[in-house]
Formats: sequence, C-alpha cells, structure tokens
Amino acid sequence: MSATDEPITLEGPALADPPKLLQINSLTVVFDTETGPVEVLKDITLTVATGEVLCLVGESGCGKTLTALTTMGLLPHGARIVGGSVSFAEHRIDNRPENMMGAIRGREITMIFQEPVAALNPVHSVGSQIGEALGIRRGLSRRESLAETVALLRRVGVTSPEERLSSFPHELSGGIAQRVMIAMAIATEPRLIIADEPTTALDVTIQAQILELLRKLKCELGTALLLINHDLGVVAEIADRVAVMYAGRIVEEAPVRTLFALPRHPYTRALLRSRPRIDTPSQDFTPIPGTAPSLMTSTQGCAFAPRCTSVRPYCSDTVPVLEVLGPSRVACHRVGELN
Amino acid sequence: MTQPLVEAKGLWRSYTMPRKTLFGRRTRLTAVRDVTLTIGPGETLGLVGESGSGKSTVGRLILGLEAPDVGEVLFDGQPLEMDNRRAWREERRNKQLIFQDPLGALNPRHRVLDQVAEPLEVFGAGSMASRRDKARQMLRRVGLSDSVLERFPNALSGGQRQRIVIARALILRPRFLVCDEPISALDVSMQAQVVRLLAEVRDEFGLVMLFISHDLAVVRHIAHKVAVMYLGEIVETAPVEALFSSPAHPYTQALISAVPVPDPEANRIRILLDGEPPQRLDDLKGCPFHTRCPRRQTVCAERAPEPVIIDTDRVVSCHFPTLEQVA
Repeated sequence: MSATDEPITLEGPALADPPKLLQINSLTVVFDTETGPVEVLKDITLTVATGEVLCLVGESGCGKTLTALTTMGLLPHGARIVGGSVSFAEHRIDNRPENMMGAIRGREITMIFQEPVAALNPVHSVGSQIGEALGIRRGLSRRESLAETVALLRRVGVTSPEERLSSFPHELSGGIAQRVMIAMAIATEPRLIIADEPTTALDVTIQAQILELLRKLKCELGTALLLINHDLGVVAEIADRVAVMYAGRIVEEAPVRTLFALPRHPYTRALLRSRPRIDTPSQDFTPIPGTAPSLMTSTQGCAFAPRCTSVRPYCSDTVPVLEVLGPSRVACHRVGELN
Repeated sequence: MTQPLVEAKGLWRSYTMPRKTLFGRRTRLTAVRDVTLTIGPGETLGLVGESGSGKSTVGRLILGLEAPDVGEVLFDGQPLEMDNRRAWREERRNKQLIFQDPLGALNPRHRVLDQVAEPLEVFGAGSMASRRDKARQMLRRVGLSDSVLERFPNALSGGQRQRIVIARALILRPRFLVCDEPISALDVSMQAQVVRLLAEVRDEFGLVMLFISHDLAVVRHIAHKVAVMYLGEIVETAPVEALFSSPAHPYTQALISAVPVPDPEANRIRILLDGEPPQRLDDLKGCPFHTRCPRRQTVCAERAPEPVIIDTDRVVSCHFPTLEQVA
C-alpha cells in the first residue's frame, strides 16, 4: 500500500477540511536490532484539530507512548522514522534537526507524564521549575515570573500557591504534583498538550479532580489534547475522538460517541466488554483470551487474529487497511460482514 | 448465626514516623484505628479505599503477619497465637496471601514447578514426585500450559506470573485467602482474566476471601460484602449490591461517583471532593472525613461518629448518613 491511498482526514473529503493542528501521515518507525530493523509503528495516520481531545487507547506495549514520543521528536535510542511524516500547524516537524525542535517542544507542544513526582526535577523547588519554563520560554523577568507562577498554580487548583513555591517534588502528594506538572505544561500557552496516562497513578477521587481540571483548561485555553490512556472510562469522559491501537497499528478510529455506541473492530468490542463495570451488578464481562503481542514480534496478516473470536483463515494472509465506514475508520477484513 | 471464619475485633495499629529533621520530634501515625470486621464461611469481603487508607495493614493484621497494638483476630473462633511459633506456622497453611507484584513474590532463581511445589515441601507432604505432580495439576488448573513448568519467572508475562502465585497459594488447599491488589500491576486484558480466575477457584475450593483493592468496579464483581476504609477507619460496611445502589456514607458516595463509566452518554452525578486526605496524625479530631466532606456540620469536627446499624449487615459511621427509604 502506498501512502497516497490513505485518506488524510476522517470526516468527508480532505479538501473541505481546514488543516489540522497535528497531522501524522502514514508514520512508520523501526527499531534497529541485531537481527535487523523491526517495524514497531506501522503506517500510523492520526490528526488532532485545534481544541480537540484525541484519546489513544490500547494495551501496554501497543505503541501508544512511542507514537507520542515520535510526535515530540523524542525517539528512543535505536528507533528511526522510515516513512511518513508528522506536521504541526502545517510545518513538517519529523525531519527537523534537534536544535530546531526546541522552538516547538516545550513551547507549542508540551507533555504531561504518568508519574508526576518522577517527572519533576527532585532538586529544584516547584517555584523554580515553573519559573524556569516561564523565564526561558516566555522571557519573563524573575519578578514577573514569580507572580505568573503563583497565578498558574492557582489556576490549576493548588491551594495556598505562595507556600507551595518553596516545596520540593518529594514533599508533594501525587495529586498536587500532577497539578504542578499541568501548571508547567500550560505555562507556555501551548497549542497541543500530550498527556501520557496522566491519572493512572492517582486515586479515583484525585483522578476525578484532575480530569475536571483538564476539561476546564481545555475550554478556557482552547488547547488541543492528545491523551494516552488505557481506561475506557476516562476516555468516555474526556475524549472528542478515539483511536484504538493494537500491535503498533491504528485498528479503529471514531468520534467518542460512535466508538462506544457502535464499535466496529472486534478488538474494540472485546476491549469494551473485557472490564468489570461499576454500573453493572452481574459478572457481566468477558476477558480477552491470550496476551497482546510485543511490538518487537512481527506477525503475518491481522495482528489481532490469534485472539479474535470472529477470525477467519484469510485474516492471517494480509494486513487489513483502514477503511472509512460512516464516521469511523476500521482496519478489519470482516468489517463488512460483522455489522 | 454460623460461626464466622475470620473475626477482627477493635484492631489498632500505629507506626512511629521517621524524624523530619535531625532533632525533630518523631510523630506517630495511626494506620488502623478500631477496625472490626467478620468474614463468614464462603464469603468474600471487599476492602476498598484509597492509597494510605490502611487496607493492606488490615490484611497483614488479619493474617497475623503483624501484631495489632490493641484488639484481637479470631480464626475459626480461636485467637491467633502470635507468640507460639509452631502453632502459628501450622496455622499458616490455612491462610495465604497474594499481593500486587507477582515478580516480587516469586524467586527469580527457582523454576516455576519447584516454586509451586515448595509449600508442600515445607509442610512435608508426600514424596517429591507426588508434590511435583500436584504442582503440575495446580498450574494447569490456573490456566498455564506445561511449557512454563521448567522456566524462570522473568521469562514469563505479568499475567502468567500472577497465575503462578495463585497456584502456589492454593497448593496447600488453604481456607482463607487474602488478595492485596492482586491485579493492579497487570495489563488491562490480563486483569479481567485474573479476576475471573480468582472467582472460579474461590467457588471451586470454597475459599473465604479478603479482597483488598482500590478498583471498585472489580470489587463489585467479586465481593459479597464490602467495607470502605478512610484514613485507617472503616466508614461503611454493607452487602455489595446495597453499597453500590444506595451508599450511605458521603465518602462512599463520592468514591463510587468518581469511578469513570465507559459510556459517553452516561449522565452521572459526580461528587467532586475538595483537596486530598490529610495525613492521619494523632491530633486529628472528630470524623476522619470531615475535612473533605460535602455534608459536614460543626459537630463533625468535634466528635467522631459512632458506628450505627442502619439495616441488615449495614453499618455506617457518619453523623448524617443518607438513609434510603424502603419503598
């Protein structure tokens, strides 16, 4: 399949759409191993529009985080892009030299991680870390940045922010530390925030607070959000659109309501049924049998075939490509028959 | 009423915290205060609460891995004999523990089959061949193929490792199993498989279970009864359906409402709590939840609520519980 066969956008003809903020086109990434290169991200096409929340879901090791890191130009050692492109605000950013990425990374695109306490610098106080971002990125003076830091902390819901300025990350609870991370992430007024499992390490009452905060900030600042998450409950609460990944590929993408009401791919359906839900009393869930393949193993045909309940012999022959089906894009050989 | 298998009466446990500064005062943190609970034959009690609420400590006290400062634990009507090493050891075969990190629970240098057979060896049961045979059967029962028998734990996936831990816990045919966050470290699809497996073996072996978890959805699907902990205290106990359909304590209500539902159309009322749990030092007065409670009154900060029985098997510790009218 050549890259040009791929529809660039989800809804309607590409020409009618305004350009997306983030546009990932047929991105393929390989890891160089002793036995040669292994494709880990395969033909990823994704878009995030201004102010939109795109959730990337899937089991651990399906390539969600790698997709985010590639977007930021933070490929791990041994990985390289062999095909496709990443564009941000209509500029290619995948082929920029490292010293040019600084203009975007940490300014236009910022990141929030799963373990906030680990992601913060342990030897700098909260005030100096946020102040650093403000000083370098927005060129504020010390006094200006101090006032701005307090305002930012207040905005993300840190109580008595003046007292927090001199705290060190280890003195913070997970919830406060994540608020500090978010304050840093919005300090430069970015157009896109990439959040990798931002609430996974938190307790549920704190998770609810952080989700509320992200929603509020998205409305107030109009920032787009690329959110990586494995909890479909969280996804249902915050996403505008969802992309489901399996073994380094996008297998389904749809607006959030469509995905939950009318999941098309057998993997998406299995994923939705696989977890016990808080709002149902019976033992009404069906685990997906087997394990997700590692990114480093190459499979023939559809990677989900060995675990799929709707599998046919021909599923293992060729890799299914994403097909447009109403508002969804689905990569399954049997998608026509299954609905 | 039939004799409960496990009874914990008025358990207290506190720890001395390390000094904050070189000559600073040592403070004491009460991890568990006045916890009373019973688990009857065939019952699974879900113990829920957020991190630091004292759930794991309760599990350790009930197993006798730690002694309470005050209170006692009865197993089959008999008090735990913490001082009699031989009796304690003999008792241990009836009680097993599964915890969060299966890799930490397994010996990296022993082969799977040997690890699962080891408890039988410790208790001197049968010949080596029969022990290995039993272990092989148990591993099959938990869904592992014979190809893993001679392998080492680090060559296996998280789900497979947790199955090995479960097989090893069951090999002595215990009567009581404590599962402390047994699925938190596993991948999503593995979690569902392991929950299913635990429910199956529980029914098959007639196990009494204490299921400690912060995941309320999972608890709803495995427990018969649920106890909710907050800052070392049990604030509400109820049969599982009653707890989820009509929670009485404001903390239980907030906790349940905070769990996201995988349905974008769901129109649920979310109770957002203010702030975070305070550190439970000994100077906190009144109801432990009063600092975050949406229904707090003056009395809540002054006096701790007494546990009140509001229905069959339903106990709540709150000055102003929500009482559902029975239609």
